[in-house]
Amino acid sequence: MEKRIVVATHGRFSEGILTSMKMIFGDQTPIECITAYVDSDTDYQELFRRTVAENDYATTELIVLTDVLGGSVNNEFTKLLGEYPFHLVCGLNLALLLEVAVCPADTVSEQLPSIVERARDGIALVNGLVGSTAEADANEF
Amino acid sequence: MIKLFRIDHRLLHGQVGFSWVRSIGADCILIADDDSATDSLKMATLRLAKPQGIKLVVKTVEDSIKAIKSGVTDKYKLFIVTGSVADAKRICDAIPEITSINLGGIKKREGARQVSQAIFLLPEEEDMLHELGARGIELEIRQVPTETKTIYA
Repeated sequence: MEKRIVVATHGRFSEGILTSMKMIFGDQTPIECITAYVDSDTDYQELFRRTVAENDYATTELIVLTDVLGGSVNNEFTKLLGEYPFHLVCGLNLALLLEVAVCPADTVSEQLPSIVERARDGIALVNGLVGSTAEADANEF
Repeated sequence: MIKLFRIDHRLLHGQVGFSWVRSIGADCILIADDDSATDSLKMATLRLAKPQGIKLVVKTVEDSIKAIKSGVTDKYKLFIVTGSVADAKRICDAIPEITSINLGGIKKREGARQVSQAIFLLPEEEDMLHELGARGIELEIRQVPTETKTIYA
């Protein structure tokens, strides 16, 4: 099984997060990006459809990551879920993207729920965390 | 066993906690740094950056050396990170098992020479590295594991 990752966002967020990811992880996983609504001549609804329609689902798991639940990018991809068996995750952040990038293709379906949970745990009010973990975890071998 | 020994002034961050840990298969990170081991806010910050499922120990350079020598770290696939060339030299002097140093990041300072994108060395640091190199220790420059090793000479 192969794995194909598409990051689709309003504007250039998708391009930007890929540069952040490369800084941390290097350049080892090809990721496609869609900068939606940047070009007024492009039919993005059609582009989203083509993106999921062209995938060969017999050989390739497609994971689409979008920026925000309720946004039009996610809304449009949601409409395509009934027709194509791709994975759609919203609420893109760097932790999520890194985890998806390293997830072995064969285990994507199985691991996506826990990847999403872990990425959600990565959103935190840090003020309240400082100190709480200091004692919680032993600093000895 | 020691899987990787790295010098990085940022100590534990994304490149270290995510990319290197996975690449080398480490199960324990030892941060050997006097400031971090003695400053509670620095310690708390490092604890927040701990990758899931990986043990993190923060000790002074001296205590790190004692721990490694005592054998308590032998059962781990250990990833040691230290913040400066001087600290790395102290550790290498005491632990001859270290045969390679990964130069990950050393920040720009007055009088430092830029050796690579992320490595800036003061003359006295170059002297220390040359001494380590002369002992046969590999000195390789890489920020992330996917980069090709550049050997510092």
